[in-house]
Amino acid sequence: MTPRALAIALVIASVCSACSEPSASGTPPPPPPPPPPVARVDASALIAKLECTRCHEIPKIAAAPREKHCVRCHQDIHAGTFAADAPTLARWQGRITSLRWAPSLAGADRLRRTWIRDFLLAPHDLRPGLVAQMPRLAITAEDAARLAAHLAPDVPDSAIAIDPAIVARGAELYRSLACGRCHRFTGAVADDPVLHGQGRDQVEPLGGSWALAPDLRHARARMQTAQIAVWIAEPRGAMPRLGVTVDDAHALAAFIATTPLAGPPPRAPIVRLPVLARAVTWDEVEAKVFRHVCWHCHAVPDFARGDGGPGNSGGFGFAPRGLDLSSYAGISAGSLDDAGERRSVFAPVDEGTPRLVAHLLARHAEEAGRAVPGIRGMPLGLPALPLADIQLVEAWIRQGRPR
Amino acid sequence: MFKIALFAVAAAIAATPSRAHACMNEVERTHNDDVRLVVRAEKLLESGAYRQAGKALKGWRFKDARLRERTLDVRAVVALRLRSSKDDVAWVTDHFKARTESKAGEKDIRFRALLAEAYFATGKTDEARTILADLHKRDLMPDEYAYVTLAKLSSGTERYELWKACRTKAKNKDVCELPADTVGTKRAAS
Repeated sequence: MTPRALAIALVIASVCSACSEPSASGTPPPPPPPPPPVARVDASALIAKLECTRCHEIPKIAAAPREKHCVRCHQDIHAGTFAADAPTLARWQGRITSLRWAPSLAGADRLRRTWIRDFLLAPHDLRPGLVAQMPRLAITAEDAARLAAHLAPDVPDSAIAIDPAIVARGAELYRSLACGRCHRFTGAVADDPVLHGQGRDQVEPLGGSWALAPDLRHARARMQTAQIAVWIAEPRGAMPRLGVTVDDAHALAAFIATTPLAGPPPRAPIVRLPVLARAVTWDEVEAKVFRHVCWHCHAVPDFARGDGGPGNSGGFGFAPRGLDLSSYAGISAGSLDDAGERRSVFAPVDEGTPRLVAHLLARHAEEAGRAVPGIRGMPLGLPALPLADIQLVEAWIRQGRPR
Repeated sequence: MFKIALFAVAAAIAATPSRAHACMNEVERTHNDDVRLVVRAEKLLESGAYRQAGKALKGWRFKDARLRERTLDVRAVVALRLRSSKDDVAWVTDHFKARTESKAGEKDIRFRALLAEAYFATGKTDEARTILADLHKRDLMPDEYAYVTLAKLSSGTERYELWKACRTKAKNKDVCELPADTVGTKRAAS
């Protein structure tokens, strides 16, 4: 936290305490305690193991080399600066929608440690404008806590009572500043999907601000109210400067932290489609699914001089699985289990569901907030495949994997 | 002093890991003519065009050790499937045995299946059966050649089932041809 931000935090804390509602006994609640000294843990080795820098910028940690940096590579392709001929670039530009932006973790010091830890263990869709989301890593609770402690200081929660008039002022500011042009605020009355949709085109030139804007539904879990106010007054990273006063920042934070939220919209149950009766061939399933989506991370190691992608040679903290989804023989040769032994990706894992299909369905479950123990949803950190595509894969397997 | 410096530079180069191109397969294919050539040969191999696959790599020797290995793999499969001479199958067996024992290849089922095919071609049927029966039991048969080879080493219903699986998985159904006795088994089984 910069000295200026600290000063703003203290001002906001004093404003908060001054405007607090009287407690039931009639005496005003005590002002929140000042933040304790920053205590961080060095988790550089863990960050290196999980390869966080392939997507995220992290203070004091070197960026991933260019050829391993997912986001930079995709940005270069879209900027036309990647060393490839024009037709190839145009082809790739038309295809690449994910990992064009990723949040800088320079701003993670505003977050609650406990939230970071929980998010690492059970990531969810935080930024509606991004195609990709934080992947479900192979991380223990202990490592997640350690990583959180590296990124954010240990600040105990302090509850602040807030004047309804200030909340109302915040709601007014939220509308007049058109915060909803970048942010969704699902569950809140202020949420405006139409304005958010319009914002995509208006804000795009700002370099991904729209794409990176989080759904403010999660703000109160991610940050303390005072931290939200500090962030609004002194934003970093992709968040643009709004030029608001400290009082306005406080009012906005109060609104964001306290406005009532409806429960998450009910999710339709995942209905597995019946196995297709028509013949499905390798060519069809390869073109629509394996080549289209999976090949990027599950390829032949020798193809790219020793690295078959994270899903083959290992990466992002995952052990090598040796899974090659780029050819018929490759997929037939299975993957490596935890003991390093080959196993079939077609073998049933749960009520007769082939392993490959179970992983694809697990991604739907993860999106619904119901991660499947022992089965990581695929594609990792990307939207679940349409159920019709999963149906195609399952039909191909049930039909004996015909060419 | 100069020698020490030279040694240090050489050691640094040797210790530098090869460039990792995770998720960059498409990029490699676009940028690297050598990779493109080997991939083309491998695709020809996959489609059963063995002679063309062999021709595509004839006379090429790549700087990259991995590409050299892949080139040898292509040549070995071509020799195995075309079987122009007994010598061919002998070196092919040695090649795939070495591949299955190498660190890079020991977990690659495909090399084990190819070794079994080579064993079968040289009359080492017990060795071939042992490998393929294990792969089949674990549902790890990589292609139609593995199925038809095991079918040739089997009898009765098992032979018929393997023949059927070969037909399902083969692009070219002729690959699955078995001696005439299969027909009888097929009738009995159906």
